[in-house]
Amino acid sequence: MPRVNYPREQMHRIRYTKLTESQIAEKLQRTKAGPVSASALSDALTGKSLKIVTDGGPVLSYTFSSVNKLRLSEGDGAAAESGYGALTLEQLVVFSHMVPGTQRGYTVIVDRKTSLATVFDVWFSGYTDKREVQRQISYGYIEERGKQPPAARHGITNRLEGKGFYWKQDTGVETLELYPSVLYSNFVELTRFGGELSFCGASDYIKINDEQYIYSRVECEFSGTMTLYALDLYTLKQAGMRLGFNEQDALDYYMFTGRGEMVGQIAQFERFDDSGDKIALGNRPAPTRKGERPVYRPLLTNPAMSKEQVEAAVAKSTVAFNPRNAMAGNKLPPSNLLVGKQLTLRYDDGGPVLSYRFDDAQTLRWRREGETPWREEKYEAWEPATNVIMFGHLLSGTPRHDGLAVVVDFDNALTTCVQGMLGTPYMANEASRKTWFGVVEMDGVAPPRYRRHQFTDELVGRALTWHYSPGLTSMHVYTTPHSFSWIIFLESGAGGLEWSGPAEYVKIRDDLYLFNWLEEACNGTLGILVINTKTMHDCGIGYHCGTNGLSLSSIGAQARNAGGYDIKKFYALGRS
Amino acid sequence: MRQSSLQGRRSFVWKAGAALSATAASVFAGAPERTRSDAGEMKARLARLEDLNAVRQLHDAYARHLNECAYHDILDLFADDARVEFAGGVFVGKDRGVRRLFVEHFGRVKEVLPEPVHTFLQRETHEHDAIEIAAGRLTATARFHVTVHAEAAIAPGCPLVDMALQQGGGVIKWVETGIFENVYAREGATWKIRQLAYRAETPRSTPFTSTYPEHPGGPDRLLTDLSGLRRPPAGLHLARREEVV
Repeated sequence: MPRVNYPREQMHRIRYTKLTESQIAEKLQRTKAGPVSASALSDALTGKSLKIVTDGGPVLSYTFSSVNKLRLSEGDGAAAESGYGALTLEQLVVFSHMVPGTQRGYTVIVDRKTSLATVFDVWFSGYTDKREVQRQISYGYIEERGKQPPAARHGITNRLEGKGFYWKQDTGVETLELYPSVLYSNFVELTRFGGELSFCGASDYIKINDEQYIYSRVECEFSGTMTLYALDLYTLKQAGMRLGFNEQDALDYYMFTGRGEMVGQIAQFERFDDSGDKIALGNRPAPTRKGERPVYRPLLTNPAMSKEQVEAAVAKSTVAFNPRNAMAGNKLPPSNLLVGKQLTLRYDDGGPVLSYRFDDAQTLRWRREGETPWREEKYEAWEPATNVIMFGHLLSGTPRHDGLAVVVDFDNALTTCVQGMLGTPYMANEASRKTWFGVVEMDGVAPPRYRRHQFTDELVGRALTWHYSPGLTSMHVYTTPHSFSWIIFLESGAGGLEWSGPAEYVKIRDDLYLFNWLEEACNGTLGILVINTKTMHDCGIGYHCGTNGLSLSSIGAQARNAGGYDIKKFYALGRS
Repeated sequence: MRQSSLQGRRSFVWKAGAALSATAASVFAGAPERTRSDAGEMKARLARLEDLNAVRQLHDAYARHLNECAYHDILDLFADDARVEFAGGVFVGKDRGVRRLFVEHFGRVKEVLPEPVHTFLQRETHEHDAIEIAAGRLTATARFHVTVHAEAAIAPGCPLVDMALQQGGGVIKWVETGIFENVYAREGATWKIRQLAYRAETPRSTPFTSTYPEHPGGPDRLLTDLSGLRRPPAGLHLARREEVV
């Protein structure tokens, strides 16, 4: 039996049930008893009464009668009994409960040393997808008779931004959790989902003191589950809770402790005097509803198209290399190296065998082996390293409207090609791709028989910023050997919204990589780049179909090294 | 205004930085003995100085309303038959094109628009600034140098830009220097802007490429010669004045 739990579908492909309010209410019945926990729950609060006062938020009066029973009055309301669970992390107490008969509850982090408290008011059925946990955070203190309220508060921070951790919970669940943003985080489910892909969730980062923080994320657009914990950077321990419905729609409501390892710290790009106690969101209107925050919901802005809609869009507009393209503001200069050349690219394992004639710097002719007529296409070519050419073009007339991105290494007579095609079993406008390895055949060149470009994990863990054009900069974090994440910077330079997609990494030469990614369950784009980590420049191609049609467009950006995470070891097969 | 300018007999040209109250005081302080005809001339001069100040105040009001996002108030500064040249487009008529520019285009700045929007306008004191009141005091022309905070959307249609828009980004913001070359008309006792033409010294964004109604906030027509956007024509209607004479 396999020891690794590879799911039938990865998280972004699971069709999570759109649970109704009544289904959720039914499933929440169990929360009356409080959360479960693999570790023994703490009795730190047993026999105590606490009144937690928050700034502009709830006033919560608790009496903890036992290790798992409490009575709560909200404001001047009547007291209600509920199950709860508490865990400690040094001087912190994390406790969580739902309010019986409702779809809401509280998770509270109390600092017994400072009497400060942070309250997460959490609830279901607050968004279109009712299973998605909503949260509102309030900061306050424990009221103590005869004592002045403390002036200090916990608060949001960028002091965790850039850090990355490996965590192993007392449940046995292992995750990699990377924090390259102040709004989002990355998580790789090493045990629950086999560790193939990374995913992203809307996140909160709260500072308790210089070594202790609170982190939360909600798996928006997936299961909607919330993970919330306090962590200690000195002891690398965590204590928290998880609340939501899993892929079988079963309730997950448990407390957990965990031990971690810090896997790295990447760069931050805010001003040095910016500690992240405010997050400025440019032109975005101020929140109007409780718990509102920026959440990237790619399928809302890029709705799935039918096969018929795709065909109509492609017929309406198919454009290769539109010059007005914000992603190409820093593209490499066009290369003339192919002009006048005639060559054949022969790919292995039944891959295409394509002959080319390059008439000028923008026009090529191609045909498959055995065909007589040439087909003309517009192309662009760049030289990302000496005698290495990347070029791309559409294959007009192919049934899936293919686009090709080709890397040719003339020094080694090697070529790798990424063939993009429209349509997957999930979405008609989503690109799929096949990567082919092969050789170059041309006069005076003897190609190798065994040597080929190969997949690599050399970039895994690294983070590079990419500046495409004025105002448009992102960061790539190469999170797993089969995926990566991209982050858009806020105006302050802090990391903002983030998303992930499946990816492939091919080594062309030392410091030269062919990287491609798919924006699956998103806008369907296939991106193909050649990354030169010496020049810190890339060149590449975007292949995309949307309601405006099919486009093959150039990409070019300048990179900066943002550091990296030491995470490759977590992807080794046979890791115990 | 320099003292020397008050002693001349030729046309009045006002240079930036003048203050009417100080000027008026100087006029009378410098004329202890005047004949009746001198008094008439001084009255005319004073009237012109009032015109100069009115035009300057009109431009200041334009800047103030723009900086306060009071776009409807900006409209009140224009003559009914006004036209505005901005970002490669010509907007005609106070209640049509000019309203469209300020209310429909500038007023939607939060929505992130592909063509530029001015978000802050700072008057600069510049030796080439000038106001000229035409004989008869019915019209005036002026050149004002400004520093402008502007913004426009990053070219749309890119997934990263879509993402940036959702976190309040997706815009390029910049500061540029530019020139207003305006025409004013006096309506009774009130001066109005009849023509306002803004030219950035080094345009950084996309000009308008379509007109109203295809573009809901677009111009009535496009400027066919965009070279003026890149390099203000020298000596258009106001030659450089080394000194006020």
